[in-house]
Amino acid sequence: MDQPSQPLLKMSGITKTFLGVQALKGVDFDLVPGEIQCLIGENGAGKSTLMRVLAGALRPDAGTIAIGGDSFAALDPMLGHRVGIGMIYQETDLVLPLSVADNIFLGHEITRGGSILRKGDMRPVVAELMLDLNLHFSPDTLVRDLGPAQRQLVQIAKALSRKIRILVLDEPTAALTDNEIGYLFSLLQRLKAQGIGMVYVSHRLNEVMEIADRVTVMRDGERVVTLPIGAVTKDGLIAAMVGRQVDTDARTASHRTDKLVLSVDNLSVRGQFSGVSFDLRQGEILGLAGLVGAGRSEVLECLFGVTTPDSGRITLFGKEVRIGSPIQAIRLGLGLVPEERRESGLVLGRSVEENIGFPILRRLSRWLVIQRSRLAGVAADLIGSLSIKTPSARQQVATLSGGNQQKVVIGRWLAANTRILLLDEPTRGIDVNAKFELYQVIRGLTAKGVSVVMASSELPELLALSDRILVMAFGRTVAELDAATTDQVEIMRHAVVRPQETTAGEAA
Amino acid sequence: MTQSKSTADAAKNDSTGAITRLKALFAGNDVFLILIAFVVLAAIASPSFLTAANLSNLLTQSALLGILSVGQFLVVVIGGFDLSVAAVMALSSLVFAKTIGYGFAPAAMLAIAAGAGCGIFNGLVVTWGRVQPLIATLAMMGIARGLALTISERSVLVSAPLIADLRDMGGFLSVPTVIWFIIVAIAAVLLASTRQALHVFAIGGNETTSRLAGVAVEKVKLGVFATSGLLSGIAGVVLVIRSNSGVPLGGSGWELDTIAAIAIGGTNLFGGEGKLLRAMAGVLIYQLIANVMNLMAVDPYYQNIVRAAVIICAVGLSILRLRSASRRAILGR
Amino acid sequence: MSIMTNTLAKTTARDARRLLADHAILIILLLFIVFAAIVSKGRFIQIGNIAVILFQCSVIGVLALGQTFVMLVAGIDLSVTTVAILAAVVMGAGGSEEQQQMNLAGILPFLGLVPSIVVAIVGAALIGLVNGLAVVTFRIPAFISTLAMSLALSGLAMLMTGGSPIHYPNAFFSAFGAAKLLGLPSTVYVFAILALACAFFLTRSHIGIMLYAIGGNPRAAGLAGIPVRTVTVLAYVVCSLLGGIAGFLFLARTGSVAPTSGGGLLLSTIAAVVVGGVSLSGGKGTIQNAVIGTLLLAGLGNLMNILLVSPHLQDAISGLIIVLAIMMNVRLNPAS
Repeated sequence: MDQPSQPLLKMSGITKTFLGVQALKGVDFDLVPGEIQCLIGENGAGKSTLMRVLAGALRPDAGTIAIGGDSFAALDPMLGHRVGIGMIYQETDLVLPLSVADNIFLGHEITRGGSILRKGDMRPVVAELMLDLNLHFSPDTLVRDLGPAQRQLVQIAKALSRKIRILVLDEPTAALTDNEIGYLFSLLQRLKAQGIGMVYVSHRLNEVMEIADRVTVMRDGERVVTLPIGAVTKDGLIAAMVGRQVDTDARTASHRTDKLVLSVDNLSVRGQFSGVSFDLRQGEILGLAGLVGAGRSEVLECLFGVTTPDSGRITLFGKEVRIGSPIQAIRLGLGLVPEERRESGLVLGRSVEENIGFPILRRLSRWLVIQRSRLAGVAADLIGSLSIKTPSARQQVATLSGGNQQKVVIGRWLAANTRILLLDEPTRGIDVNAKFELYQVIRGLTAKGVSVVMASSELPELLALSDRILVMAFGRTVAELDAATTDQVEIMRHAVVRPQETTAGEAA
Repeated sequence: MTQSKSTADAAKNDSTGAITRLKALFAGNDVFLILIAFVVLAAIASPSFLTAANLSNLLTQSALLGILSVGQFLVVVIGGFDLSVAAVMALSSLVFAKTIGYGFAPAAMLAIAAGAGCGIFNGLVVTWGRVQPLIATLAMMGIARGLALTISERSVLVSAPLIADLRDMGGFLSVPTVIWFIIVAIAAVLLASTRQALHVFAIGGNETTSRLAGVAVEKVKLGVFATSGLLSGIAGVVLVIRSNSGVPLGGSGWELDTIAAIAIGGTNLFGGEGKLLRAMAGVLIYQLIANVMNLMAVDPYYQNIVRAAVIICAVGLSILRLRSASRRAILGR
Repeated sequence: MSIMTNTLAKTTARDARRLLADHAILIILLLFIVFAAIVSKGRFIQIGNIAVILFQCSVIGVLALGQTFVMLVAGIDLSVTTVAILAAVVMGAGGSEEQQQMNLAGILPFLGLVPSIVVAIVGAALIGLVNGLAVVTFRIPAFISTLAMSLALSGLAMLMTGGSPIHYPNAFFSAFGAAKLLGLPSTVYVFAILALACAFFLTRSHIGIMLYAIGGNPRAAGLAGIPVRTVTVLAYVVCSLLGGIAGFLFLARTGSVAPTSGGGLLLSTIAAVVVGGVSLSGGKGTIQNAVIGTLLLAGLGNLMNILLVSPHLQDAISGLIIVLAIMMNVRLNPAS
């Protein structure tokens, strides 16, 4: 790669803003023919946003995408197919009731006169693709009858069935066993020989070291660095992903007491996480660290009664409890601030006042009639104490900024006298100043004796706020660290390692 | 397709191979077995069932419902419902009956065009107007029935000799039966061999994926509703041939009968899955029940109850199938 | 200071636009009344005619109230008109002087008037309970489960009556239908009281707030501690209960009922609600607008009557207008 050949793909100055938050800040990205470039970064670094721009699923606010000789301001899925971009999504992108063969050729069937399917011409192509991927079942098998790994491989075959110059793989090995990963990698090497440029998005640094020609690290919506694989080490990559140094002044005085409020023992939900144990004390903030899919949100949802555990014990304020529904969880003094504020946290079309009052509506009504003045009083108190910026309590919550929306969700639990607050990515998509306000709110709560479990992908935030940090990986807790003595690199080192038992379990 | 799936299963687990193969023989063919069982039961229940005259009559009775069910099948597979099929048929029958003075062919063309027009309207309301198919076609049901009754409140008798000839033509297989068979044959061939048909199934199975793969979702939907309308138009002409008249109230309630019939035939009411020939077997089973009840002189209002029960069972069965299928998908294999 | 006035002006402009959007259907109704008055040369707005419109729309209006509840939680009840007819059959046969033969309805006269009304209304509520439970526990799409329910109920109505109409229900019903107060028939008062009660319930009760929350975002509502399943079931119960009352009004208005009477009611009911801007995807819509939608459609029908448009052509025109209105509604509210 000494004579930089004409780049296959050149994305320049790509900028994308979601609701006032810059997800991509003028990112440059390029790919040359026949290379495998790995794209890594923490959750929310902007990798998938960048790839969605490339796939044409998102329209960038600024920047250009040059492919071959053509330059575009934005792509769409059709245009993407035409210029030769193949996407392999993490989630299943197949029609379940159709056969493998039909799925592979969907949208670009070989036909006579644009209508009559030429199955005889498609069959050998499908057979060859399946052979390449070591798939030994009939192409007439319905995708519905396939397991997750086979589906993932069919998705790859589907992308390869088109004439592609660029192939994007988003966490392609999540569902695969080591054996299958081996086949995939040898296939990628063959594609490389054909001059196809590949972007490989992954969290798994071992894979990255094995397969990449170059590595690009992203952080906070920016490209940090692009380096040839020979010039990097695993620790170097972790350091580059983490980047920022923790502002030590940000660390707060702990309000932790010795009183045990919540004790989780060997909690498991099949297919989500297993053997999770931890204690929580009054006034403590317990941080949950881990990568996407590590099982953090699932643990919080289980504690809040969204899912029921298959095994394990939850002891709350000294009593063993079964939490069968959010309503029960709320009655026991729990409150959840979910990860997706707009999808799960708020009813956007309703007012600030109502969104705060949801858990206590029944308490605020006499007979059936809601006592609006009492609701307004509760809302006014919280708008004041949390300094929620809204024109009025009757304002539609959709019109508020992200930070203020999040305060509404937290305010709801204050109104309900919550004693243990479960926070899932509380500052995602919120600008810097609002983040600090939220930190103060969370600290203020612990001073009042509220205990907090906080899952966050922002390591500085975890380090600054938490008393202890529990690291999760692949559905298990892998480390418990003292926030005062640990650092980002140590956390990441635990988070990217796959625990041995799971590997053995999955291979079986 | 079911066959090969189970072949794969068999290869995976040899010990249960024989059972799997046996299951494969019957799996998905249950509709035909049920049909045979019903025929046997019917023959036992009523001696006059297995006569050529009655069987011929049964087929003729099934023809109209069958033609409408072909259209309904397409709409259901793509993930919708067409509640207007019967009303559009009635409208078409009146257009035909009123214009037959200008000649058989022009009148038939006009009637079929009227049906297709209604279908295209449905399709546009659904695709461009983004109205749910159920609501769009419910409104079309009102429009078409209203127009039909506006043209004439009573049945319009047709005196053209050609119609009488067509009606009396054919021995065991009447003209309506033959038209139904031809339509089913053409549809079956097109469904098995064309890209557009594959796209109908793909959209019904997963619309987002189909769109991302470059399937022209809107066009295909429009085409499906237009086809359903076209078939309703043809059914209108057949209705006139069969009954010698244009019938403004013809096929009242048949919109549900078509759905029930194809549900009996194993069509997934949530879209994406179904086999046309099995759906047609469903039509025959549905009609057969009515036929036998007639032969046994069951009180009409009990017939209605039975009909409702059959529809509910068919719909329930369809839901059960879906639930077991999705459970399978969650568990993998 | 100037910034403040600027923001103020902007807010006012936005408020004005929202006000316009919120009351679009009311404005359309007013424009329609003016149009109808002109086209009918004043006959449309005569007191007598308006009383006729109100009389005619009371049954559909009450059904529309119920449908609004269900649609607020993103459901639909296709069985509510059948519930009304079945309820009317039970009430009509109960305490009837007419001796029904050969069918279940023959038993009902022995029930007497009041018990049969109670049976009909309670039965209606129970049907709603089944509908709601089917949707909530079995997760069967509402349009399929309520369609199946509708079929079963019309079968039951057939079974009860043997398919023949009940011509001579208890004289109480026609007397009730004929009773007038201040020139308006009693059924109109029933409709008006129910509409006020429903509007009060939806805006002033905590369950009303919950209904809107569930329709707006069921997941968020559940995570905020709202009993989503219970309240959803309740919506179906209320809808069916109102269906039962609509059956009472139907009997009072027409003086007889046949098991097949419900034919055109369903489309009109859904149309009234949707024309009134209640969103099929849930969470949006008010009782006021559903009532206005009902009045608009009833007014349209009445105007076509005055203009001597044949009733069947009226059906066709209504269908067309309904489709256009829904399309407008969907396009103006690009939800999800």
